[in-house]
Amino acid sequence: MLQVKIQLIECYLIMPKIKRFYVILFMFIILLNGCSNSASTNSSLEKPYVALQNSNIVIPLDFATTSNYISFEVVSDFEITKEQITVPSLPVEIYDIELVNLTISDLPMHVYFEYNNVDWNKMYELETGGNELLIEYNAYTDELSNGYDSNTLIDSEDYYYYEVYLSFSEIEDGDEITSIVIENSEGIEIEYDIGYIGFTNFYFEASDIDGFILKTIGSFGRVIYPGSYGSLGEEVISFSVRDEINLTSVTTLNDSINIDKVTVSIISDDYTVNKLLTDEEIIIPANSDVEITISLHDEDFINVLDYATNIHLQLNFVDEDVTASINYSSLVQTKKNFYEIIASYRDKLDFTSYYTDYANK
Amino acid sequence: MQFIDKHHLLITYSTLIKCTERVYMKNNTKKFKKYFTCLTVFLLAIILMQTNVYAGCQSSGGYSYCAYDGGTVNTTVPIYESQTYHTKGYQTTIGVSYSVTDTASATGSLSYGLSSWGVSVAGTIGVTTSEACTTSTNITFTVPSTTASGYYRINVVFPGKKVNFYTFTSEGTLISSRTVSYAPSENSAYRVLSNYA
Repeated sequence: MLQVKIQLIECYLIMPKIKRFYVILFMFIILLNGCSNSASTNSSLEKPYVALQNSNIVIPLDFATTSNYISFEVVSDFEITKEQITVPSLPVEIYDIELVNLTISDLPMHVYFEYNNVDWNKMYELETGGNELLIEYNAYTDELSNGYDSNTLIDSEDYYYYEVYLSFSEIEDGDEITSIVIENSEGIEIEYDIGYIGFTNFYFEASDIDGFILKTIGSFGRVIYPGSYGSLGEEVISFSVRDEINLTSVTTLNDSINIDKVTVSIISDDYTVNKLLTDEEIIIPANSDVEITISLHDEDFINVLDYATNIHLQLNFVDEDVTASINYSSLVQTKKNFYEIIASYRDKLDFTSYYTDYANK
Repeated sequence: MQFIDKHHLLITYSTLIKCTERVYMKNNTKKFKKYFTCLTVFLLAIILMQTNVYAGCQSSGGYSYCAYDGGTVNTTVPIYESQTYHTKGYQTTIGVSYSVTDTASATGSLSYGLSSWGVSVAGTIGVTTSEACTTSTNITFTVPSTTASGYYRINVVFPGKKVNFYTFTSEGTLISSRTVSYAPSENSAYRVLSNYA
């Protein structure tokens, strides 16, 4: 390499002056071009970012409470109108698009740390290492947070940050969505793979339990956070019963989703009893209000940063030797912070380690 | 993951040392009273330490201003305009006839210490002073025919956090604190469909 440089310098020195002028002019043009490119890549995006990825959603049309919409975030460096977003697999008459501008606040500290090449394994070890590592921990966080300024790295005014609502009016059995299309400012259509959203008439009959009232009959859009365990957080289901009934189990109909723990809180006027649901059934006394907290994880969500799924749960009871089931569904999805999107998409920073080695370890 | 807050760890550690010194180094009749006082302070410090999750600190003028995530708190706002009676045996569609915007606001000012500093550091844990969620006429929910008869409506849930603000000297001594019992998390509102009667 050094030899090549020396040869280039020698060539330059032996050139006639007029040629030297052209060489300098050529280099100056390259320099100018390089500067303008670097300025544009600082704020411009290759294409808009669509946060709906790796979806794994099956919506039974009359299985449980369903919503007629899916929402997801889009970040763009040009203004987008709803006419620029289409769903190739569906006729335009049966869906509608709505865009809502989202607010952008301050740069989260973990994103700033990521720009400063944080080692999240080291951060975790130092934070959980007790007194012996306290001085080292303080020094490390001080070093990483040095010069923190919300607007230096990413100027939010360069971007448009939307929540897109995709709603359906006449969905039928067999309809599915695997991609969406956004037309850019030059009229070029860009197709995004979003995973799978399917609609089916598959039906798992719910039972008729006299005096049983499900207080929360469905949940839509609860935010989940990535991690190495694939945790879907907790689903809370409330109901009341008029007559005594025995809760035998809580099951999920999703192949990849597992239930970690079920806690049953039986609330009466005078006291609340909390019980862990095991193989033994739990007797729910007559006239009780009940809250069931279900901890879940999803094998398909392990170390995945963008994800959406709907959880299908069944509460199984025995009522005078007759089994009965109640259905419940919940749509959960990741939602990236605006700054995380820009840092990962524009500046190619990887937040996997932040979630798996630190935040959700 | 539950983080150990470095400042409280320092306070706790120094308190424990002082307790030990007072009990074993001084020979006076009030040592047990002092011991229990120290022990109470120590236990309070442990409780304080365990209820906080590290968020972020900024130093200025010899002081350290910190905000801590004190745990998740949800606020639920009903959309009264969506209230609908559902009859078992029929599917019912629930929505709104005009666009409805619900908001959730922090229960106190997020400014603390230096002007606007509190807002800046509170932002590092993803909370904000106010959050809005608009439910338009395009959004509907279907109650299946098997669901019990009754009144149902859409509720908007705004997940948020309790935020604890503390000011420390450079030696780690706590000189002031303030708690905001709820501040909404950014862009994390979701909807639930609930029976209400």
